[in-house]
Parts: sequence; structure tokens; C-alpha cells
Amino acid sequence: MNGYVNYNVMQPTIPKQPPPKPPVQPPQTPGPVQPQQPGPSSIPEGAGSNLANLQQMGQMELPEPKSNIHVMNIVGQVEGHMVLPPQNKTSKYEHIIPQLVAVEQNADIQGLLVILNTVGGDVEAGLAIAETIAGLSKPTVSLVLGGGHSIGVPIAVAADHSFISETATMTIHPLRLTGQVLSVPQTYEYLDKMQDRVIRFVTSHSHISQEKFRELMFTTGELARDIGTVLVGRDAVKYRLIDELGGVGNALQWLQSGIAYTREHGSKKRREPSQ
Amino acid sequence: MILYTTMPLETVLQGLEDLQPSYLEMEVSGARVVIEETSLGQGRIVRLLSTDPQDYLNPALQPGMTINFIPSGS
Repeated sequence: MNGYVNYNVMQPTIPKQPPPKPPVQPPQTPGPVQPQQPGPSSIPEGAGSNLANLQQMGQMELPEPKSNIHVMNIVGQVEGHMVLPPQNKTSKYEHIIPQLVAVEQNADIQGLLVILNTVGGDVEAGLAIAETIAGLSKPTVSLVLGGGHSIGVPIAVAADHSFISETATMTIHPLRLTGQVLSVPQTYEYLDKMQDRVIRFVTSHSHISQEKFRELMFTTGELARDIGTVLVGRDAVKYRLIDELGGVGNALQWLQSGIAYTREHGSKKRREPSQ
Repeated sequence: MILYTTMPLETVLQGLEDLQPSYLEMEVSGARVVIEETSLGQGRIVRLLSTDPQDYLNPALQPGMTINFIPSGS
């Protein structure tokens, strides 16, 4: 008898000559995952990432010259301090804000195009994104496609120049806590303060007046479940909330001229103060 | 947290109580990421933990990207 038992392959009790080969190692059973020491990632660098791209997106990355602008897409809910359930499409501020820092820092990027199709979301996260966009030293342009509602409004006006497509809508409505009864005056005052932050940001970054914006916010009879106003493309321009009606072509054209201005003058053209 | 959205709050927050994702931290292309495990050896990037702003421009590190990894230990 040989001195071991092969527990993987069935063996006859009396082995024939020559003696059996060393036992086949049983396949390693995957043990419990240890989060502290994960194995190496199987996404390889370089050429392999093309393969990963092909597997995940169904397309290869084409070797093209790098663009000098960065496109940022704000979609779905603007996600703030709470992870939203998976049925929501979200734009995560913890990723967007460092990305904006990278846009500011990266010498290859000369301009930023923000495309909005959002239903709104967290007030603090939205205002933080808006303030970061407004603070960039590179030319920025925004384009509202589909919808730029609620907290999407300050993000849209944060750019140096804003465009809206003809069919896109923007809903302006008061801040509220759905279904909650305001039991103490402090709750109302707090909400009012939050609302003032939004109003002040929007009116100081666009040409709409505070009075007009408040009026639109508290209009009754426009929305089925709420008070407020829906502005369709042209209306948003009429009230001077958005600068111009246009599409991707107009936005890119504006951005290129903004980049040319910046190159010539050493700093970007600032929006003239409203009122 | 105050949500300022046109979506009804019940639609946005539906299923919040059932949300119990399992997160792992690992290194991908030299940057640390938080991954939500979707199945054994596969996960989705939830967050990028990096102090290098340029990492946030890397499409391979964007939230939502699928990552295959070899579960360690045996």
C-alpha cells in the first residue's frame, strides 16, 4: 500500500504497477471573503482594460485625441448624506466634487460642460456642487436637457453661461418636508432659511430677480400636487433664469469662445452682476 | 437632510429599510475603492477613496463600474 489516501479520485484497493501518480489537488474551495485582505483585482492595466470595457459596455475605447473639455452629467437624484435605494439613479456628490477639483487642476482640461437631466435631490449636496462649479477658474457652460428641477436649478445657473433646450422643463417649488406637520415655528424658520439659501444662490448667479423667483415658487394652480411653476425652455429664458435657448452645438460653441477668451486675457469672462 | 425634488418622497425612499448592502474595500489600479459585493468574486464600485483628484477622472474607477476580483482565503 502506498502511504496516503487519495480522497479526490476513486482508487482500487490494490494499486497496479507502476504506483499511482501524486494525488490531484482538489480544487480550492473558495473560503469566506475577507474584506481586509482582498485578492488582486483581475482588471489588468493597459490593453486589458479595453477587454473589460468590451465586456461591460459592449464597446472598445477608440484611440482618439483627448478632448480639451470635460463633460459632467448630472442625472437622476442628487444624492447627499444618505445612500438612496437602488431604484433611484443618482449623481453622487462625493464623486462629483473631487472630479471638479481635478477639472480645475488638470492642465489638459480647458472648459467644463455640465449637462443636466435631474429631478433634484439633497439641498446641501446640490448647493455644494453648484458652489464648486461657480468657483472654477475655467470657463463653464450648462445645458438643461429633459429636466432640471428643484435643486437642479442652482446647478444650472452656477455655470458662466446656461442653455436650455426647447422642450426641457424646470420646476420651481418651495422646499418642504413631505407629509410632516410643522409643529413648532423653529421648523418653519429652519426650512425658510434653507429655502433662502437656494433663492439667494439662484438670483445671484442668474438675471432673475428675487421677487420674480419667489413669485414663481409660490404660484398656485400650476402643479397637481404642489405649489410652484413649471418653466418650459422658452419660459426659463423669458424670466432670465437661463441665458439662452440652445442645444449641444450652441453650448460647445460658447465654451470654445470662452476658452479662447481665457487664453487671450489670462482669466475667464465673469458673468456681469445681476440687477 | 432635506430633499428638494419633484419626485414624491415615498418613491425616492421606497425600500430604504431593506437596504443592507455588504461593502468591501480594495485596491483597483492603485486607488482604494469601496465595493458593493453583487455576487462571489464580483462587485460594483460604490465610492472612490483617493486624495488624488486625477483618480476621479479615471472612467475605470467611476461608481457603478463592475469589478471582478478573486476572493481571498481558503
